[in-house]
Amino acid sequence: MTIPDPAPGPPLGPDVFEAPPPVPHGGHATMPHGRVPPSFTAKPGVHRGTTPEMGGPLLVTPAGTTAVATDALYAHLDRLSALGHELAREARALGVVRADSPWSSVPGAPAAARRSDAELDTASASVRAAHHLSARLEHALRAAIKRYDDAESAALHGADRAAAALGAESGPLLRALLPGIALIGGLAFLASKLPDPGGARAAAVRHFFLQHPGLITGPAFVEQVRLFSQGLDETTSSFLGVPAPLAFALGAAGVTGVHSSARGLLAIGPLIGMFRETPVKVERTSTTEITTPPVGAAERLDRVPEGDQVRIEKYQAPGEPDRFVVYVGPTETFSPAAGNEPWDLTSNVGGVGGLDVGSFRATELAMHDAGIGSGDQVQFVGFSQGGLIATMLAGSGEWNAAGLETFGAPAGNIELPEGLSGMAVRNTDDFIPLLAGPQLDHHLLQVERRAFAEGTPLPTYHAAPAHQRDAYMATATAVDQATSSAVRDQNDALNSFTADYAGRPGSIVTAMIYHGERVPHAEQPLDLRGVTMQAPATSSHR
Amino acid sequence: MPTWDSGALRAALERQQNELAPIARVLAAAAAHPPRFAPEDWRGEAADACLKLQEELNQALLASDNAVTAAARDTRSALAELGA
Repeated sequence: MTIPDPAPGPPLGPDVFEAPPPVPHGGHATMPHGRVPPSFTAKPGVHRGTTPEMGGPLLVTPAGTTAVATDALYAHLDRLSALGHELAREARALGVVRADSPWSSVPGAPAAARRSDAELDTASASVRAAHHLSARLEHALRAAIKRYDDAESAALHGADRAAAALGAESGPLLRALLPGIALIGGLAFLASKLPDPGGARAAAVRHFFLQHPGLITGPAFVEQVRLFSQGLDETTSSFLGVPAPLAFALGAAGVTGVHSSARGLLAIGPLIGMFRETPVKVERTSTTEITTPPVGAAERLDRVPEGDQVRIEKYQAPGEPDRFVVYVGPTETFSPAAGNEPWDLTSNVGGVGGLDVGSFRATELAMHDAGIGSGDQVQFVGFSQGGLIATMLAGSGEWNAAGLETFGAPAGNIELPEGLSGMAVRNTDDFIPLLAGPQLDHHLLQVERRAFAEGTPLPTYHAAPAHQRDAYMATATAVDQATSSAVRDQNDALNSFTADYAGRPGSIVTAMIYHGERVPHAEQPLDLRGVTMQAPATSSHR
Repeated sequence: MPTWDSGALRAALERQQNELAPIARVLAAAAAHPPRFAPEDWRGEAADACLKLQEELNQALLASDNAVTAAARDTRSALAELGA
C-alpha cells in the first residue's frame, strides 16, 4: 500500500492562482431531491440513457473487510441480526410473564389459565429455538461469504502470481522480439504521419471501436487489465535484464508495482515529448449562493463539474466551523502531450504513480482560494481522474478529510486514513479503475456493480461505455436505492455532512467553480520575487 | 403456597394479557415476514445449507407465534371464566 509521495524531478516553477474578476453573489442553483438528478435525463447529449435496470446487483465490501457480497445479502444479514435481538428480548419478556403467574400451582386458577402455562412454556422454547437458529443462520451466511471471498482471493492471487512469473521470465523473449516490435512500431508511427484527408482513417478506427465496445468493456477485459498491471513491473524488470527470480521477488516484495511502472513511463515520456509536468494556475469562474445540499450519491455525482474542473461548496452555519465539499472533475483530454489542460493523461499517469500532478496542484490551489484551512472538515467527491485526485487529497494527511466518494477512480493503491465516511464506487466492466492495480486499501466502503449485466446489449456511443458518466449515474442511483446498512450508513453520513449545516437557521451555502490550466514552460514567470504568485504555491511536499 | 382471591387472579390475568399483547404482535410480524434471501441473490452449496436453516427458522417463528397466540387466547378465556 502506498501513500502519494514526491518523486525527484526538475523544479516546475510556481503554481499560480489568478484572481477572478469580481462577480456579484446571487442566483440560486437548486436541485430537487428525486431518485436521479434532473440532468440524468435532461442532457441527452451527455447522458445517453444507461439505466440502473441495465446493470447487475450491487456488490458491497464494507470498510475494514475484504468480504464481498451483494447488497441484498448484507441487507438480509442486517434483518437477521435485528431479528436475533428482537427474539432475545421477547424470550426474556416471556420468561418474566411465565415466572409472574405460575397458574398450575395456584389453587382455584381457571383451567384456561392453567393451559396458558404450557403454551407459554412452548412459546418460550420456540422463541429460544428461533433465536438460536437466527444466530446460526447469520453465522453461516457470514462464514459462507468469507469462504467464498477466500476462494476468490486465492484464485486471484494465483492468477496474479502466474502473471508476475510470466512477466519475470519474458525479458529474453521480448528482447529477441525487440527488432520486430521496433519495426512494427516504426511503421505504425510512419503510418500515423501519412496524410489522412478528412480524417477518414482516424474515423474508421474510431468507428471500429464504437461498433465493438465489448472489446474493452466487460469483466473479462477488466481481468486482463488487472493481470497486465500486476505483471508489468516484472516484465519491465526482466526486459531490462534483471534475472527472473529477482524480478519476481522485487514485485512480490512491493519494491516494484504500478507506482514504479507509472513513474517509469513519466521518466521515459519526456524524451519523446510526452508526459511533461508543468506549473498550473487556477481561476475562479463563478461564485453562487445555493440553497440545497446534495442528497444521495447520484446528486453528488451530478455536481462533479466538467470543463471547469473543480467545484467547491462552502457550508457556513452560525457558531460552527465552516465545512467544505470539493468536487473534482474527470479527465478532459487523453493527449499524452502536455498542453493547457491539467486534467490530462500526464496527470492520470503521474497520479497513479503517486506524484503531485498538475490536476492535484490545481485542485489544492482552488482549495486555498476557497479558504479551506488544514483544520477545516472537507468532503471530497470525484469522478474518474477526479476520483483519483480526491483520493490523493483525502489520503495526503494535508487536509482534514471527513468524507470521500469516488466513481470509477484508478486509486486502489492509495492508502486512506481510518474512520473516513463514504465509498469508492466502481463498475466491474470498467477497466479504468484497474489501471492502478488491485484494490489494496480497505479503509473505505467499496461498492461495485456491472453497468451492463450479462446479456445486456452494449451501447455504441462510446468505446468504453461502462466508464461514462451515465453508467456511473445509473450505479449511483442503485447506491441510493441500496438496502444494506453497510451502504445506507455511509450514504447517510455523506448526506448529513452537508444537510446538518444547510438546514440550520442563518446558514449560507456558497458554490465556487474553478478552471485550471497548465502554464507552459515558455510562459513560466521568471520573476522569482513572487510578484505573480497571488496565492501561495501549494504543491504539497509529502 | 400463596393464596389467590378472585380479584388477585383477575389482576394477574389482566397483567399477563397486557404483557403478552406486544410480544404477540412482534412474533406475529416476524412469522408473517421472516427474513428471506432471494434465490437470485445467491446460489451454490452454502446457499442451499443456509436455505435449509432459513426454513427451520421460519418453522420456529411460526411455532412461537402459534404458542403465544394460544396463550393469549387462553388468558382471555380465563378472564371470561372469572367473569371479567
